[in-house]
Amino acid sequence: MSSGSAPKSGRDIVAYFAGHLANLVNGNDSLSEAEENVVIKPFSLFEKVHRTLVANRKYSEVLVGVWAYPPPNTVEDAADFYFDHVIDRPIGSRGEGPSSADNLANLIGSRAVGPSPPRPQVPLSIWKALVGGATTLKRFVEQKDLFELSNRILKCLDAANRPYAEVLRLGLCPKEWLVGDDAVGVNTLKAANAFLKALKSEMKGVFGRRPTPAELEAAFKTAPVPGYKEAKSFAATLLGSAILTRVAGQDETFLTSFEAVEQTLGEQLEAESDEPLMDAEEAAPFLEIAVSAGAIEAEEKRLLVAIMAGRSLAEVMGSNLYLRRRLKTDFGNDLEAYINDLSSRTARFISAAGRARP
Amino acid sequence: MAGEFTEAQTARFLRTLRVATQTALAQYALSGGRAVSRPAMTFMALAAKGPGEWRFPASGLVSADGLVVAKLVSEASAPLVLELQAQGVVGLSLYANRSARVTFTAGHVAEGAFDRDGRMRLSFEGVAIAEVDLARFELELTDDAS
Repeated sequence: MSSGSAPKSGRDIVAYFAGHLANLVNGNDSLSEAEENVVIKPFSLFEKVHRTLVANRKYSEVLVGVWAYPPPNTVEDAADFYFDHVIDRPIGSRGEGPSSADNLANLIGSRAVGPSPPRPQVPLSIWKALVGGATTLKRFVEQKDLFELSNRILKCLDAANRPYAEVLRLGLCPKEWLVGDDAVGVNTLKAANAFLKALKSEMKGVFGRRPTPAELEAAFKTAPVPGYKEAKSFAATLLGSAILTRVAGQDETFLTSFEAVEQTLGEQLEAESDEPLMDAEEAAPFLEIAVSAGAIEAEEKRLLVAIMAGRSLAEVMGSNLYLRRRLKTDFGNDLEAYINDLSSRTARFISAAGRARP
Repeated sequence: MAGEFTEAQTARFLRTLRVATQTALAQYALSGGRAVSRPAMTFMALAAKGPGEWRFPASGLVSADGLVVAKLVSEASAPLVLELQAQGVVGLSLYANRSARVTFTAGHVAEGAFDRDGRMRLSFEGVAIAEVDLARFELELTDDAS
């Protein structure tokens, strides 16, 4: 199995985590295909999720960002905090309509077997959407249904994970900036990240020092933080001071982690899509273009179509000699690395083609 | 060519690609590439290769799913013993009273069974194995859950 070692971008990790949650809720780690229903056991599910956040380095490093938690915090503490402030964070709606957590709860409710307890009329979290309804669900047997569950969890994660990821992206500890007297709102965090990005650009990659006043002013001019007239006044705040201390620190972890975390924040183009997922037939023309342009191979297109059509990876790989050879030769039999590479190549090409649209 | 798709269609495609591939990968990881059975679970130490001789961490190694902790019991003049302990209710419910196989990177394979407390001891008596060979291994259940 390759899941423990494959490199993964931050963006992939959020989607992978959503897929992981969807599979756990669906009992895919313990039930056979023949079993029609799954019983939701909140404590058991909590333990599986929590232990995965602790033990899986992909999650603990990029998603939870254990590196940002100063001692005596442990990876367990970081996972606890992540659970409480991301997975169990209430998600409000962005207008009149239902929130992404309401949509997730509705999907879960549509699979209920037997009576469901009434849900409280309060903003739901991912966790409460998943476990706060019926205890027995009809399983998501069709792969397109499982994808939809994963998609709805991902939409919730895109919202609930945002403030947390913005704090990590600043190189700071979420426990210190998301709760308590020093808690900072998500819009200020976003603006601070834009400022930090501009500042890093002004500093031309030479970190481990305090920026000069000129660099600070230039960065602030490019990316001002609302509520502050000049860089000096922002730098004098607790948040501004903490950011500059991180930049001046000698610990490369805090600098190299910015990019990985940045990728956990969904691309605008994609995040705005509220349409249902495509089926394999609809996706095929996009993949055909990628093949024609040489971005992916014809056999790789078949692999992606098969995944979208709901065939298992094991089944598809097992029946295609070309793909198995490519997996062995170029990816050392690391299937996760191969699929991530293929997905990234395809997404890069289609995104670039979309941007080139007249 | 790409101009034939609208921005909304492109966004849908990108979303579908991301969700489908990552969900399929998560499913594959949870099923170990098989349809229904549980995967081999990996234990992997960090920085097993270094300038000095690598030592098995005293705090143990945790499996990738966090459900089992492996500790090396090393006593003078006694053979090395690898002790695996299932963690928590989920770990116990999964591993207690189950037969398992452990495959080490050096090629050595050991079989045993977890007891009712979720503990399995594997002795390396008569086996030439160094601590560094234990820096990565896989645990696989060999019986059917019932």
